[in-house]
Amino acid sequence: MIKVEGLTKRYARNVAVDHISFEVEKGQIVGFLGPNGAGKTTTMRMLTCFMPPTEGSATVAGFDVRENPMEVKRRIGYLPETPPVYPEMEVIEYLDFVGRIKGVPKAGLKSRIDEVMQKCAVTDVRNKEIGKLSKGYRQRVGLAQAILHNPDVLILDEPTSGLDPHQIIETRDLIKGLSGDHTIILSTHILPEVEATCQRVMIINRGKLVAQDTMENLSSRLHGAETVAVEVLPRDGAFSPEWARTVQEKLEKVGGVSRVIAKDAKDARARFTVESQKGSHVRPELARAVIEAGWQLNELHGMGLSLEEIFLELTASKDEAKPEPAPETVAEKA
Amino acid sequence: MNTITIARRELSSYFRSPIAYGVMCFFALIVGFFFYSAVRFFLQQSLQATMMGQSVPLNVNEWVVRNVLSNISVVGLFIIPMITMRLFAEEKRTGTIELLVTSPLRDSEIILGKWLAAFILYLAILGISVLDMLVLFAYGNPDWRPMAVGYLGLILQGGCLLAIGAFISSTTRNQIVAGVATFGVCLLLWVLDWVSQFESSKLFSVISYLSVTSHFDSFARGVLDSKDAIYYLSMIVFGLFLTGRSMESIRWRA
Amino acid sequence: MATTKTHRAANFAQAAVYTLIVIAILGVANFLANRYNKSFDATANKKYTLSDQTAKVVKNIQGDLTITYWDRPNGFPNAQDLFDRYKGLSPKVDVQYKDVDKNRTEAIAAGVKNPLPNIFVKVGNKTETAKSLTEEEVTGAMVRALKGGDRTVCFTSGYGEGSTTDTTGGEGLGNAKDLTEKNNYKTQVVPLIPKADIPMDCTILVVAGPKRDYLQPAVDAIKTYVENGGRALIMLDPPLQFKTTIDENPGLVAVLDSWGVKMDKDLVLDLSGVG
Repeated sequence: MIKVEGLTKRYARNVAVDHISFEVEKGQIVGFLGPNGAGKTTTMRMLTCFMPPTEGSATVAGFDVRENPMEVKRRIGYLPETPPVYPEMEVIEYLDFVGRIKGVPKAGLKSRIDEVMQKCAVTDVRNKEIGKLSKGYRQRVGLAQAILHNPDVLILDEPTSGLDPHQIIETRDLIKGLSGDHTIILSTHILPEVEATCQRVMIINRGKLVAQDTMENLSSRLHGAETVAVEVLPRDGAFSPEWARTVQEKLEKVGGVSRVIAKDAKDARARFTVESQKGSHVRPELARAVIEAGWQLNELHGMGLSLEEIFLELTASKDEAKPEPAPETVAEKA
Repeated sequence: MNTITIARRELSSYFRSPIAYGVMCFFALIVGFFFYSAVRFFLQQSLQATMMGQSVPLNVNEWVVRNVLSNISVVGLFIIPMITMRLFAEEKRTGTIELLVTSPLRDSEIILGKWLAAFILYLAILGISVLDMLVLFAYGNPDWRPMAVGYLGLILQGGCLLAIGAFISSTTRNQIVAGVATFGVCLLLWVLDWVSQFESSKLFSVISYLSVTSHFDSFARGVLDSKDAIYYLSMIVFGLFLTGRSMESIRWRA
Repeated sequence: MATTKTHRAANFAQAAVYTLIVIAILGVANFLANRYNKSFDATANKKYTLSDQTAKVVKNIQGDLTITYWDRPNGFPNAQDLFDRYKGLSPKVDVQYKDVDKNRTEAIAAGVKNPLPNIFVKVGNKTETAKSLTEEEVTGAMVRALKGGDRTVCFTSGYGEGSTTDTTGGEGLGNAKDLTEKNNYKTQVVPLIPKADIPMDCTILVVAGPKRDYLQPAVDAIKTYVENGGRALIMLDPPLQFKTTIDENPGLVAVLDSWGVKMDKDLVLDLSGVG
């Protein structure tokens, strides 16, 4: 349904979108995840034909955004970050206007408006001026406007921003309910939202697509590899860098361990981050190794690699070093 | 068809904001004052003329109608910026321009629709002055034909300035900036006329030709010159054309 | 890959070219419209349209025509009403508005005298003065400048008009003829029978009270003369049958009517004893 190849948007000073390529099948819900300024809105604006790409191509339902913008616009419903509503108009007037300019045939317009108002739960404010509505209601009117002409594709930019938790859940349910009939791209910087609604995720940072995967795959990445934090004390309190090194070596020898990273020694305790390979359960083994060596095991707990960490890792600044602490020895600290 | 939809929406928006009513009041007051002064002067002159034995009645068209219409053409310079300033600037500010640009609408439909709404509002405002003119018919015998030509001139001049104002509005998101800039341009065009009206060198002829108000003179007299009509029509076309270019550039720069 | 800069430059250039093309087209349209202007005067007496005669005179001018208007600026708008019409007739017409106060030396050199305004009409290298801001005067000045040379007053004869040799009071034109010649005008008698042919170098044609109806050739001659730029002073006595018979002269009356002049058969009684 949506095919994007090498899509680029360049401005005088910077590259907002840098050669992004992806595909979205009919009926899928895909999430665009990325920090503010990553290029999500710009990409959406190119898909909706608000602005032309500098390079690359995008096609929606087979129509190219550069060559056939009218056809593309007929098939897309767009909800920008700020709902494009006229504050002085009443809800029902506004929807009538939108219906007309989107090409909804006049005959069925009225009933379609009623239908959409019901779906988006704005029927009770139909005669109110949009400017006087709360943010939540306005957002819903914005959503109504996007689905009014029953487009094949919905592009939603931060659809739950500014809503209270109750409204957020309602909106998410509404969006989920729309998938299948519609192909949906939604952008957000709220991670749980992606987990809750999307089937696929695309992570964008600084204009580049840094990761694309289905939620399942990402999930298993989450729980597959494990990171364990270990804190060990010497039996008789005699702490020394050499001893810390011994501990490290011992831990490294545990089956399933891929890496042991020493962290700053604090209060004469040796602290390590142990990364294990996929599928291994190293925690019991680590515990046993420490106890058998006669040391005191002060702390042992799993640090799940959350989506946050994947996200942060992937979206770390290119200029900064990857967040991988250099193996500091205790000696340096002394 | 889409043009009409857009024009309707814009018009309903105008009449929901205080601007339309404010402008109409302002216009009614000012033109009413001009009208009153002109009629008073006319009556005084008529009285004098009778006493001196000159032929009466004096031509009311000459003395009153032409005078008032010329004044209205200048008042237009002031009210048109107030009408056009929000045409595009407001949409850019509130983000509704995204709705228009991402809907299956042609740029020309959007531009024409908005200009049309502004034009209709302007006609409604001019209509107020017609009420004043009706008073003349009630008490005297003015010739309606030169008056009609005069109004045609006002309508054409208005359309032209509205197109220019629409263009200026499309270049910024700030209504006030648009309003002030349009006002500045209108003022400049008026002043050009003053400055170059009675000069005859080639340079001044060109300057005078560009001045929008200079083309109104013959309409005010009741003479419909095709060259002036063509001038106004071409300026309308040009103003709307520039608005189209401006809309395209919104996309390139967005 | 084309950089953003060249992309933007290309877009800008494209828009600029498009704009220039549109300006060019509109410019040409306006230029043509100015050349081939069609004027529709909605006023009752067509007061802002010049007569056909004026149009003919102006269009036939070979060289350049310059009208110089000397006055204080507050008189300019009024003048503009009239002179714009002349300008509209032909691109050869140039009008200059000169402020008497600002251009004192030039004014004196040009011979500007009170009362203002002074209107000078220059055709080629001949300059004539129009005595007032009216179409008649201005066009008249034009005609005079065109003709140049001697000025002749032509008196019609052959139908019982006043005679220029008759110096008695009453109907004779003898005294008038003398006065005219004293004012540097030549006089000439133009007989309308047997052949009616009015020479165009008559500056003015005087029809002084013919007693009999003009025959068609005479009427036609007068019509042709006037409509080609000539000026006529036509004096018709009322068709009374009192001491002498005076015909109605329907032919001439009809021509006058076509020029917008109605001849009413009225009498003016002057009881004041002054006349």
